[in-house]
Amino acid sequence: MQTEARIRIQSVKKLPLFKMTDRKWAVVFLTPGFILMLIAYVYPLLYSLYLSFSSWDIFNPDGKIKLQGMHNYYKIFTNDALLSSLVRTSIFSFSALVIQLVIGVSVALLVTSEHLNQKFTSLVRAFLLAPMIISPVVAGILWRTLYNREYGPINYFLSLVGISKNPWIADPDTALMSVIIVEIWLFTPFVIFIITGGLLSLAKEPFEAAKVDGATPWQMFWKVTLPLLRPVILIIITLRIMDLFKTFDYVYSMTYGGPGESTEILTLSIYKQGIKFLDVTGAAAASWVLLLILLPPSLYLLRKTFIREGR
Amino acid sequence: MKKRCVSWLILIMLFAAVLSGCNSDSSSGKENLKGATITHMVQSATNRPEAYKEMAKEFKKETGINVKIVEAPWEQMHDKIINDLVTSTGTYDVMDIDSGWDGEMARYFQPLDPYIKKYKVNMDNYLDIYKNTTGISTLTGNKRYGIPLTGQTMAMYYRKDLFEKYKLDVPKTWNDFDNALETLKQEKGVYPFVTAGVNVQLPKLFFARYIPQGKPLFTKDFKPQFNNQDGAAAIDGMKTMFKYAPPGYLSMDTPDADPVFLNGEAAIILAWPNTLSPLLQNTKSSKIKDKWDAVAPPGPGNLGPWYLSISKFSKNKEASFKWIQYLSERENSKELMVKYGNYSTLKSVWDDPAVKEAIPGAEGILKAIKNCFLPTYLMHPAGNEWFVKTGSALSDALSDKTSTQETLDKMEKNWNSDKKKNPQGLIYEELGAN
Repeated sequence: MQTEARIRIQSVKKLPLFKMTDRKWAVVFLTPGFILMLIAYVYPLLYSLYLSFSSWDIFNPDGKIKLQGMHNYYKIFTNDALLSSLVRTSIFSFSALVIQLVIGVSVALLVTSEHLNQKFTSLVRAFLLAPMIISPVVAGILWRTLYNREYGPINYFLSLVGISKNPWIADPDTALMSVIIVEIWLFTPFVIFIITGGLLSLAKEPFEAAKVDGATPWQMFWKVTLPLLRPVILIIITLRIMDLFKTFDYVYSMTYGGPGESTEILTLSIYKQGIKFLDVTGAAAASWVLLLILLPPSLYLLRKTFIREGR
Repeated sequence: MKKRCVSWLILIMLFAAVLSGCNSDSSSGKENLKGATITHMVQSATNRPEAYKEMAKEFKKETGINVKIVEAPWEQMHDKIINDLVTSTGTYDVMDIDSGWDGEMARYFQPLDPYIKKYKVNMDNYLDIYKNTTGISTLTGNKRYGIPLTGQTMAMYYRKDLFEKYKLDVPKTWNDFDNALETLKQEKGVYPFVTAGVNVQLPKLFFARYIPQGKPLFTKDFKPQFNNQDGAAAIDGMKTMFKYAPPGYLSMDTPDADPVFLNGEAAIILAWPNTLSPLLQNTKSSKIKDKWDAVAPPGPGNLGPWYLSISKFSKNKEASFKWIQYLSERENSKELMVKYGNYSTLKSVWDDPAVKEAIPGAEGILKAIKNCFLPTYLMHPAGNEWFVKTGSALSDALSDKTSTQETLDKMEKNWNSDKKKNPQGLIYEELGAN
């Protein structure tokens, strides 16, 4: 009996020691990843912050980076082209987001409807995957061809129903709208899938209770479905805003910001400024402005994630 | 003791031999370069990578030097090369360089005059336009940093049958050109004119309409000269000619505009020849075989030359130059032109009857090349940015978002606000064949 108690005491004493060793091992295994993260994420981020407060004559092989304070930030807020691209990005992002949400919720309700044939809804879901498996750069080139005024299939099909040829991306007045259409085509399926997942995970009881209370389908949607989906929709809004403000690839391959500057969104301006015009320090400052714009939704998302994990 | 001394002596000699063998950049001769590997950055979506890979096999047999070909599309190529040069990495030993990048890159290239002298390369074999403008500039005190590889400029292609039908002469001035468009408007189902109208193509048309008026775009110290009646006439002229173009022209890049002409739906096209010419005589791609001709446009287009350069940070400069010299040999230059569609920069290749036969419209294309020019603002640090912004401004003018005067003001303001310090030695010139 005494021996048994001694063993138990010994194992209890050993436990914290064992735990410490475990922690040490954890530190050992985490360190390479942590160092890699420092090199790959933190260092470039801090370096770009340093660059944003500097000047650098990149055309001169002996040119050195010199600190010059807020000059690059001042340049951003006095640069009409950059400010216009910020406004354009906001119009692009918020219009696309609203339309994606409306279509996303509608289609998700449709594909989860019990009244429709299961085979049909599965087929719709499979079709929705198509845009998501296409690389955005390829999608840009594809839509560039689709929008071609002379030989594009879109104008051809519209002409069959008597609608005259539209210049789409060739007209500064319709170019941004054309880009928004591509954005909707590319990323609405993502919204649909997330909302579909959300709808399928909702408890059935509130719907049954509403039915018993005599709620119409419309009332059920507004009073039950939407409030229950609220957390999912908020996450989608956050994720999409971050993505929309960072949109680059298909706009680059489809319009390269033209005609004129009608589709030049912020990321494209930053790219041109930094990579094409080699104003690396100015582009770094503009990137930090973009980062600050995206910080509130990112923090919100982080908070939501941590709160959920905390639970 | 004596034995020991001899052993030491042998050891030192061996060590020296090994060291000299390791130095692939030695200028002592062919055998030292054997086994060296050089990396050559080439533009993809041209036939050059394929051609270079073939030629590299033969080159290896002759010299023992390995050539690794790395490809990238035009946009990415610029970014990859500039990153490599600015960070002094030397990943690419040899690079195909677009002359428009000179302002950013020229100073990072190895001066080639010593190699040209050593390997007896005769620069007089090149067409004057290339000899004077390509791979050389006042940026480096007229020291050569590139060997002309290929180049072209916009040529004017027109429908011979329609010109005959409406009794039109080939236009020699922009005024004749605009009048011809008005006449050609009568032909049903045919646009009188087409060309690429995306932002980046528009400044070239502006220059083509501006230059024949006889004034330079800038003063020698880069003060804008175009904000005047001549500049306004050039923009208004562009507006006039685009009135006759398909309405979607503002989103047409170079390959997008070509099918309109190939399908017989346009009477005139201003186009870059190396993609259009081969298609025009192919019945599968062209409805107007034998019904067209190519001539120099009424105003000089700007030259779009490419040259071969060696990075200052290359560890294989000698081997790199041997490779450049190999690619520039007459027979290889001819093969690059005839088999792979990269127009030669050598006089003798263009004079070759076999080449004239193989390249549809060769004479007109050569005239356009000889007639064109290279403005040195492209070598100015602000040049690229101004060029891109000018494209946007002209696009706005053509879609009536801004007036002609507002556009000129914007172009001038863009230059003055973007203007970085004039690089030492660079003066504004419109370089040509003379």
